[in-house]
Amino acid sequence: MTGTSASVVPGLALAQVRQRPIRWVLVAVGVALAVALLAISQALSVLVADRALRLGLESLPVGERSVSVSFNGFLDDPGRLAGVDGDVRRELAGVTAGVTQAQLIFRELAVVSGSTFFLGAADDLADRVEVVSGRLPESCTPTLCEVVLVGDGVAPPGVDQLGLEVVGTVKRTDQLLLSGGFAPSGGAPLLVADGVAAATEISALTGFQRVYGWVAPLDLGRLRALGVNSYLARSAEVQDGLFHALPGLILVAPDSVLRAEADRAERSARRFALLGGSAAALLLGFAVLGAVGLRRDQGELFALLRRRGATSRQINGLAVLEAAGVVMIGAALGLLAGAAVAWWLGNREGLDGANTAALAVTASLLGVALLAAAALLLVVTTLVWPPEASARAWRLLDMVLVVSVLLIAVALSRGGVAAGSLDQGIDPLLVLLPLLAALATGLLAARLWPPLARLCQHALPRRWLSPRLALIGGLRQPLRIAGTTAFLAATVCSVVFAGAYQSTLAEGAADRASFETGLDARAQAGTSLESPLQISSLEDYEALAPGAQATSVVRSAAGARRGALDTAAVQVLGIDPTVLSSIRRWDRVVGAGDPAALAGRLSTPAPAAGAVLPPGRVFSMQATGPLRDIAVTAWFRAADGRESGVPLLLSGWRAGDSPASEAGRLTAEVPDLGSPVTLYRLVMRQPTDDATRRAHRLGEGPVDLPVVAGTMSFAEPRVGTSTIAGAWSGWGSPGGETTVAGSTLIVAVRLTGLALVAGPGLGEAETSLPVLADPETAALAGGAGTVSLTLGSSAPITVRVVGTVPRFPTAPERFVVGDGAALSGLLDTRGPGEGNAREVWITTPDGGGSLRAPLGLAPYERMNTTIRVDRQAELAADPVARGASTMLALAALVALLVAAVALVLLVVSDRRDGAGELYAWEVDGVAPSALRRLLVARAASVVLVAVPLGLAGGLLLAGATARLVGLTATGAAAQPPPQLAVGGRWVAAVLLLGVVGALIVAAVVAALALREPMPERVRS
Amino acid sequence: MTLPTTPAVAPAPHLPVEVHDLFCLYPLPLGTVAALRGLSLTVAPGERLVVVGPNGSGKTTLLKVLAGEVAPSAGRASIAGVDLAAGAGDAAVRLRRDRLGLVDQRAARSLRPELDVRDNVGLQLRVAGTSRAEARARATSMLADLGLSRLADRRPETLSGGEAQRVAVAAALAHGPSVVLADEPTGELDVFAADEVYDLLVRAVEQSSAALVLVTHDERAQRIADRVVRIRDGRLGEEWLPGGDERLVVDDRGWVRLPEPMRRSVGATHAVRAEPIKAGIVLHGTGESIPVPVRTAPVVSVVDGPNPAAEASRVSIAYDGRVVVSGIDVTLMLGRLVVIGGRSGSGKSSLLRVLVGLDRPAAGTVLLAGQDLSALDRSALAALRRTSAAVAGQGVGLAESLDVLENCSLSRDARGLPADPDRVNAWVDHLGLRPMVGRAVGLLSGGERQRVAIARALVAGVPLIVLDEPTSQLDETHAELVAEVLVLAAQAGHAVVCATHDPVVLGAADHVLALDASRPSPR
Repeated sequence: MTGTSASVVPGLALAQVRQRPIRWVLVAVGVALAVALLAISQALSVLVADRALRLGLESLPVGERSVSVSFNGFLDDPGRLAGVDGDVRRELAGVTAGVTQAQLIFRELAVVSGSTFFLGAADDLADRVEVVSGRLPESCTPTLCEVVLVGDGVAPPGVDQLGLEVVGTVKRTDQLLLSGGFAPSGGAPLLVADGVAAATEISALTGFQRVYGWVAPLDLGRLRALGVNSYLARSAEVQDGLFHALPGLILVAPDSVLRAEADRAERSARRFALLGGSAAALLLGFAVLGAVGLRRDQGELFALLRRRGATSRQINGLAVLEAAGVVMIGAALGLLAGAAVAWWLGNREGLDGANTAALAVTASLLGVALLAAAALLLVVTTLVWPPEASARAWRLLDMVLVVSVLLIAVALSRGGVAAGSLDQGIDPLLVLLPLLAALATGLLAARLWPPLARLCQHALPRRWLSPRLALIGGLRQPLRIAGTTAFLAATVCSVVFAGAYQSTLAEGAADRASFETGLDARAQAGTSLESPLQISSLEDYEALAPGAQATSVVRSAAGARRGALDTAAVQVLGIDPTVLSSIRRWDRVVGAGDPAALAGRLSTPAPAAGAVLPPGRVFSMQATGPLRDIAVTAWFRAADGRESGVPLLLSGWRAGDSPASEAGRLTAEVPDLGSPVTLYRLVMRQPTDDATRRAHRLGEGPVDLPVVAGTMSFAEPRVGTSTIAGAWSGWGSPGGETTVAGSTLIVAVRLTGLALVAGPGLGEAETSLPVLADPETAALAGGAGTVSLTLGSSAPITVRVVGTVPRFPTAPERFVVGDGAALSGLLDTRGPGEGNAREVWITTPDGGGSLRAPLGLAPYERMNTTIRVDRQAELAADPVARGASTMLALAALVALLVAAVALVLLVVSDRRDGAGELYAWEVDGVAPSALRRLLVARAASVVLVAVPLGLAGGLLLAGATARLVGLTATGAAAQPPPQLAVGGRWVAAVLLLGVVGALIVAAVVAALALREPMPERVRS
Repeated sequence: MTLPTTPAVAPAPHLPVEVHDLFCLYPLPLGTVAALRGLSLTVAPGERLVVVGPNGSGKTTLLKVLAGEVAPSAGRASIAGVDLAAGAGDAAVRLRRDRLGLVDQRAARSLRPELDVRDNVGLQLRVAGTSRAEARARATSMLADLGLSRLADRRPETLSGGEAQRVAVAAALAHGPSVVLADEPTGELDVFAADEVYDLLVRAVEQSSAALVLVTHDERAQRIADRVVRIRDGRLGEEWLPGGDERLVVDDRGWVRLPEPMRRSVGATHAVRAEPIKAGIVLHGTGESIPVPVRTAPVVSVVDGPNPAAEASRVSIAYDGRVVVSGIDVTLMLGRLVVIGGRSGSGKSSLLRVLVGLDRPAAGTVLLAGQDLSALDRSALAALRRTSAAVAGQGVGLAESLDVLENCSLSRDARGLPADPDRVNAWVDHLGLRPMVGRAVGLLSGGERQRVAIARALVAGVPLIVLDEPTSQLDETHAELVAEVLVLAAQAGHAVVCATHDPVVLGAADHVLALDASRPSPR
């Protein structure tokens, strides 16, 4: 005996694979698809990260898309400058292969005329600018340096006194030239000399501060090649190197942007791993189905070998060898396919395709190894599991089902998971949830098919011969049918999950856009800090687009006391109650209540408006009292809520016997608020200078000072020459210090607080403001249902909670929402101007799209505006969102394809492996057409069990995931929280294209079967 | 006459087979079934033992225990000194590899399609670690010794049934086992092919001096036996020498239990011959043959239909250009039982298929229920069979999850016939299947399933009943039972045609059609 007992195994394994190539190919295809999907998910992750990075960088100003080194100081010695220049260029070569340009800028310089300008210098100026007029500088000596003016400005006269000569005007062709941190500020003209070293030696500027700089474009290729984290590490090394070369050299790079985008990409990669891993694991089921098809033949071989004395090691070794070869081939093919797709995707995205493929393959190697090991284990177990131990197999599957359900229950019971926790990967169950759900759904379907088939074959009418025979025959060897049912159910579950989750994310983007805008557009103060109503009136906003309606929104921060020492921050919103009905996606964004009914509860009588001013520019009135000790400000208000306070100037002052008898005229210019304008508040306070002096004396001196007090009376005011009759009618003040005597307003001033406010209706007792509140704030309401809110140092306002809503657009977690006019009045009572509307919400019939163009023009471009449809599109176009969408769609399509193939394979296998059964029935006189219907009925029975369970499982999973993972499509924490959206189109696509389509193909396959002239003789 | 327990062969340290007080229990869904109940048996080196017994008596279980595939529940079994008690594990594997040769009833289970005949014969050597070249050389030698060299390069699927089984015998013996276990090796073969296999078995075991345990229903197997034993209900019932008197086995576990002192006093320590006399039974002489149960007339209506039910005129059948049946005439009349005999490959099954429209003849005319089958397409043929013919053949599929009554009802459903419980119950009773009612047929033995298939054909109530080897898995008693049922079916008005080589069925035929005229009819 010259061989070994194991030597028979390889030959037999090879012979086996050769004997049943198609079924082994199915196993390999299952593995290949799973591996390819994994690699593709990694490729998508790479692409998404790159796209996110590019978009993040593109959002930066051009000048900041660079790496630069600056040095604030003097490098007068040419040799030293050259040395530093060399050091910097060498260090920068570590992070960028781009051309490094040296530049220099002096601090803002002034000439004798008082005009200011900036003087810069750059090497290779000719390559970086384009001459508009004149010529480029040709020389620069310490006494006369030719310079050019950059841009449209005018060179200040007298620069020649500094030894500068302007020889032309240029415009930048290199956007990095003196940009970013080197860009002049304040609008002063910029002159540029050619050559940093030469400009350094301009003798007139020897003592002037300057900043040296070296700038190079951000090297995206290097960034891609190194990866963000390595790039940032390299960047830190460069910073260290620069410091060692010359302390004071500072590296400036958009590291924070890179880091933020890398974090986001990392988060999305985890999501892709979740999706790709689940889909890949699911596809292993296909490999198992292929192995199930091999079981019969393998079982016969193993039985023969056992009878021939083969050891378990030989038999298991044979199974392992067969499976390992096929799995490895499948994995290799899958990797190749994945790499090819990655290469194609990379090229399509403008990346190095080969590099993308390499990254995708490298990143997926561990997953591929795990997948291959799992596939090997599953296939070998399927092959060697003894037929007589089928009961044990079912028990094992039952255990897996129970464990899966328990793990799902544990995952659900842990509650929500935020974006941060997903980053940290603290909940592996969450990552496994889709796989567990698909597994549980599949196993449940497999477990249900036999009893349901048994039940149905008894319940079906006797004349329904084909379905009955289909079920009876299926029960004979239920493993393949149960396996197909399990796979189809798990696949449908996965596809429905993908569709529903994608739809949920898309709806989440729409919800988020609606939440951020309230209506269709939201205008807030921009960098100019001008509020929207300062820029334009509501009428003008409504004129921006046909059918537009605008409303002002009052917003203020407040505190609600919830204990002796604890105050919760609450945002107070004031809005026109009728607008509630116009809030987009109310049910999802706000989440409770009927907007019309809630609006009715919020409505409050309009506060007293005050006296309407007649046309004219100058407001004036006679006044008596301590006019020099007390400053008076008149507040005017337009009909749309715009407010403006104007200090009244004292003129014609006359001394009296006492401060109360002083007299004078108070005058102010009526602000341009359109028409009509009302006088609605007078505010009396100590003049600022007096208040400061008083504070100093109190702080430094040993004695106290009397409170500023006195009686002030204001005669009937007038605008121009027109008297405002009854101007003081109904006026009062919260403390009751104000009375009206005829046409005179008398105020007993005693400034213990910051100011005294008088206005129409302020003498009446203040009522609580009805508000909607979030549940936690509402819980603070006592028996009277009121909450006291503190706004700064003003007197608190009392609000009465008339409704609770979980969320409100644009509001943080804690909020109250009241009638805007009433809230504005209350705030103005505490401090006139406080009730000014901070933002404007606009709605248009087209969802805000028609506002896009006008809001981009002056004067609206100064505002910060958000248009709902644009925001939604922006959220949807986010690389992470698009990547997730692509990944979900890909997983769904592959799963759909494989499920369809599995269903068709069932018919093919039934036709082939069940040939004996079909022959037997035909011998009994059952027509071939009835047997073809039998094949279709069996496939349909699989569908009838698998699809409803898969649908239910998928929807439950999507609902649970939406509830647990409070993330948007972009991986950010979602507000409002995601809510399950079924994604009807997806489900329809699954049913029509996938299952129904597969059934049709299966029916076609069945229809083509049994068409031979005579039945083929087969022994059962 | 005393039975030799040890033939004249070289002594060995252990007997090839030693079984003592063997119990074997099978767990079933409805309880435990005892397949063996205290069986004791020994086989001497080189002895050829034939084991017979009714279906379900435990013959196959005994072989499985001896092959180490099923562990005994109690008692002791050893092969060549290897104890096969539960947990034998590696020892059983080594035993199968080195000392045992197993011959299966179906050659297809013993031969792998992916290997040629030579590699199939050498497979066990390869499993034992022999190199491929050496294994093939020894296989070639083995095939030559057995006169099978011409088959060496063939693929198993190209072999006839008899050839395949002879190759399977060679494959089981190529490694030189000391014990050969054969389970119904001729069950699917005609008498001539069976004889060739028996001869081959004898030659092979003699070459390797192996002991042979042959389980069979075939009485003719006794011609190669040194000794025959019959197992009944899991116990050794009788034993005899070929051509000699049967003797009842008398021991503590056998069917006849006599106190040991009494056995000793009459010198009957192991077996006796039972002779009934007026005053009782004298245990010394030969016994009576197995009584055939007395049957009542079937509760079935006389079959209506065209007469003859089927007719073949000058029919020739050919496959791949090879004519297997040439110009034959057959008329199947209602009320007649016709048996088609002939050796394997003589075209018996082919003729049956042609008669019911499952195949086309190369020439000639076939009428079924008066209709010319050549004018009908596949669907029309199926429709005609539905009303005119029922087939119980080796290719009949049973609904494994249903019991016998449900299978019979389903058969009627498949033909679009109304339920007929009386007819179903009548045939089920006649075929002795009543005890199996309520048990899924998947749990029944091969013989029981074969009877279910016959019942399924009979309940259809169609004129022509076609049966292909209906007793191939039945013991003698049940074969007689089936023969009687076929006679009853003919008496009820059916035209019954049956392809078989079973002498019991041949004996019951109204007419025997021998397809192979060159060989004598077994009748």
